[in-house]
Amino acid sequence: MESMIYRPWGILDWVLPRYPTATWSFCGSVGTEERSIASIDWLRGRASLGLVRMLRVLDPPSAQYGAAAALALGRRQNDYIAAGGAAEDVEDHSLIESHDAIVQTVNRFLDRCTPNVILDVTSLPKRFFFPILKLLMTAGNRLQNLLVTYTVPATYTRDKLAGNFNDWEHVPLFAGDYSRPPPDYLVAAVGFEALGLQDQLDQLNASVRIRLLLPFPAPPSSFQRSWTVVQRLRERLQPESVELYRCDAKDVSDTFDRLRSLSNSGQKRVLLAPFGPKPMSVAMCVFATLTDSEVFYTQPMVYHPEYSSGVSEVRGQKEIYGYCLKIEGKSFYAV
Amino acid sequence: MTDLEQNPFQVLYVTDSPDPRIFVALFSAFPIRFAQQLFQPGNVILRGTQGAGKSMLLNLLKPEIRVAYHSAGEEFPLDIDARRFIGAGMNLTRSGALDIGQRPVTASAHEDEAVFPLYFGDFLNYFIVRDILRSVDLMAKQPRVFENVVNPSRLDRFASALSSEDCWFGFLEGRDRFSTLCRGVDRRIAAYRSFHQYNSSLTDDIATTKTAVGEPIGKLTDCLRSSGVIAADVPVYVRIDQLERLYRSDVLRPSLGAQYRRVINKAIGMRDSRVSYKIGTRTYAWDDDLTIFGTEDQLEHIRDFRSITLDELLRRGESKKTWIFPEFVEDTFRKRVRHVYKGLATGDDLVGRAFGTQHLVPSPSESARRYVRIGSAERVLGIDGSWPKVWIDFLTAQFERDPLQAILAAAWARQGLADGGNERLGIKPSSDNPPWGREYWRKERVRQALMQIAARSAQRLQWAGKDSILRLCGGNISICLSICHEVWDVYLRADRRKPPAERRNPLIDGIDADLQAVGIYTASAYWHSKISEQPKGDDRERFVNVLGAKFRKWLLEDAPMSYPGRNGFSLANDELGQYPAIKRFLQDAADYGDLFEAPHTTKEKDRKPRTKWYLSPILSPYFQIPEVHTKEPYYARITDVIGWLAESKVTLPGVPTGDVKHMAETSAEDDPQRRLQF
Repeated sequence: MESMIYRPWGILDWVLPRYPTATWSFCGSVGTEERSIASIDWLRGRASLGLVRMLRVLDPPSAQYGAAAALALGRRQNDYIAAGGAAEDVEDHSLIESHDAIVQTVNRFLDRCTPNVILDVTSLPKRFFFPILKLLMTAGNRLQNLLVTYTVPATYTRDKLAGNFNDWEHVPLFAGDYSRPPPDYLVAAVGFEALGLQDQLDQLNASVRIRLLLPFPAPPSSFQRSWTVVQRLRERLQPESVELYRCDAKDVSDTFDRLRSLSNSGQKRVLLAPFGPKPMSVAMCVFATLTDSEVFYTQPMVYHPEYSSGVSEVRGQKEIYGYCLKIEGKSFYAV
Repeated sequence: MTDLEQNPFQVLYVTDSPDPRIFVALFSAFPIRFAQQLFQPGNVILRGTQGAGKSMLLNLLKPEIRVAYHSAGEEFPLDIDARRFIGAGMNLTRSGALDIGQRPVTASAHEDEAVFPLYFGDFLNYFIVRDILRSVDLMAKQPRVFENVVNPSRLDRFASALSSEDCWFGFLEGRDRFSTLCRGVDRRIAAYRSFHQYNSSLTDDIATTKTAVGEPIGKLTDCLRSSGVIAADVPVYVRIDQLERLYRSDVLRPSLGAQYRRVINKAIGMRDSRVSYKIGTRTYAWDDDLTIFGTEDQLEHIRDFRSITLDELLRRGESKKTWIFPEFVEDTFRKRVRHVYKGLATGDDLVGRAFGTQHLVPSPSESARRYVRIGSAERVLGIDGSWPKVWIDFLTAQFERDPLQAILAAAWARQGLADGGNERLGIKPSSDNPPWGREYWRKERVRQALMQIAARSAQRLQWAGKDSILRLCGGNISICLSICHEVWDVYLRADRRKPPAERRNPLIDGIDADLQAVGIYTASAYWHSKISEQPKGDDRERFVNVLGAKFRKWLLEDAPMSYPGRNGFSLANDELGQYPAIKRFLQDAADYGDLFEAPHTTKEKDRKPRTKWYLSPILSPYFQIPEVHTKEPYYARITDVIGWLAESKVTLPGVPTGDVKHMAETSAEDDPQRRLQF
């Protein structure tokens, strides 16, 4: 039986002191959501910050949300600067820019960053944070400390969170290893929206078994939305072809362990579909990086400008989580 | 639990990568006889909307499916002389081909644009060659399944011949055993994929040995034959499905996607009799660009390829006699029902027996009576004191006997008012051979009349019966299976509540019309929700919602029933041509099966070619509008469509998004349909 692996994570106020005193470089985003800048705001004054790079990822033009999104982005940028951020920290990107543009952004960051990096995935689209985290993880000794942060919002909009998704494509830099046999499992983390996942499950090769990861525990309202998606997905599948597993929506380590277990420590091949909460996506990204697994997603082209509002609090503290990937050169995640 | 308690339509789709065992059990071979060219030498473009069955047919070219038939002891559904072929192909998404162009390969962006298509062609060659080798290997290992098409003793000789061909520019030199040849091809593919994951650089030996698209595949076929691995008359088929991914995806820059499409056009346009390409693509997407890479030449229909359009085959045309879809449905239905109910599913016309042709389905007059159970004549017919008493008395009496006939009579009378006079109201109405009873006048308005009756009686319009179901499918077998699935579910839920002695066998007693109506509405709502579950579907869903609401309003407010065809609209092609983005948006909607597109023979004096669009018939129950396309659609102007797009908050390049209300109003006043005589 495997021994339990402790991977530190928790509220940032608790996590940050686990690291040695250091000057941190920060990569995050200025998004439409208030929570997008909560992590950097919290760190300012509590940690020594060096290079800060805030990506402002712009959706394609949309008559539905374009004006509201532009307004919200402008407001957020003003908030960022008012809180002490510099305008030059912010870099504009197109949501569908080439893989190379994303890689070059990371390379520029790596050229200038300290060995201590915080990646805030809160409002970064998967298309961006997956390759960014992969390149940070594979930077070797260049980075000694790597911390991922994620901020929980007070509420999500009851409307559809995202729409006009694209075709089923692999996430940049996650096409997987061609030389290995086809996947044994498709592991899909379930979120608030199915975003075309149903069709992909319908079309799967019969030899690929489906494993759905349901975010639980999770707040009742969130659980209800995810559960509705699960029910809908299962409705049209043969019951024996699908198994459902619960993973803590906030615990990267929990999802990672589930992936390890499902893949028999990476022996079996899995195809990952990160449709669930960000911490589960972080776990999938870490696992896929370590095992060279395929990650597929249907990238939405438009996000609700009021995707979420506010920042959640627990016991008087902002609910900003930190997940330690590497402390003083020691990696906590391995298969 | 008896067999009858299972839903035979639980496994809905047999699509891209099916379970071979399920495929064998459930695949209907019926369309094969209308798509014979797909299984004969020659390039074929298999076109169809989403769910039309393209992938089902293309799957037959996969050797794994042939093995599954053999394992199940089932006869492979192709003619004996069509079974001897080598089938291989590629999945553009999973292969990684679309990554080419995401990472620069030279120091110059300009140069990259020029070489990306060359690398794409090279990758395509290696990937397809590898899949052919995989198929050959599988066929060699299972000689009984493949009737000894492949001679395994000649594989190394073949490898030696192929690896020394000039087309590789030396890259495979020395790979003179089948296994080492496969590894050599793998190495190249892995190198491409590694490069695009930023794990390595693109090695010089790749840059200097790029192959010409199609050439190695032709050479491979030559070598298979000359070395005796296959006989000279065994064709090689290369399957590429979902071609539209190249040029209707945001993943690739549009200019690059177009070039890649042209690269594949080049392979098809080589007129290389050694290899036949079998391309699956959505109906309208194929016509986007037929240019051959590196030339100004265009692919030519018949000369370079033949086209099979599944929608044309399966949708009902002018004549019911040439409509093959009902037979396809019967065959598919029978396979699934037999798979679950075994010996219980015997006899002819199982679809008719389950859903009813006559005995279960109420006539239009009976349907009208059911709708108006709580409706009054005044409310349903919309008549008031301004009407002559003789008409009020007549219509009220008629309403008691036959509400459908009454509303048609009222509509006929109103048409006179609409023309500006009241001559019709001056005539004493009579039930003897009335003008509203004339066959065509009545037939064209029955559905609109029922809709108005149901709406004014606060009832939901209902669909039931074999004919209705076939119409709602619009020639799409996936929709048919979905309707069957939902109707069966409703039937099972209702039947389980009965004591065993009262339970019914749907294949003998049929399923009640009211249960069918519930299932059909559920299927319709499901297909509506599915619009946004397809790529870029949210824009199309909002547009369809705007159209659905508009059509319903038009048809309900048209009390004289002068425009019973306003559940669709038509546009002049020259107007549409000015807005390529709108054209593409509408074609995409048709390709995904949200809209139905067809040429429109105009009644206007200018005789300008027009195209008409209707909502997909399966959406009719959801929007509560008739699915039948009768009379003339709404003659729209492009400004109307721009207005609807703006109302739907759809952003399209080059299309105004501001206030186009004035433009739309202008065009509505200028409605040429108002000038048409009915």
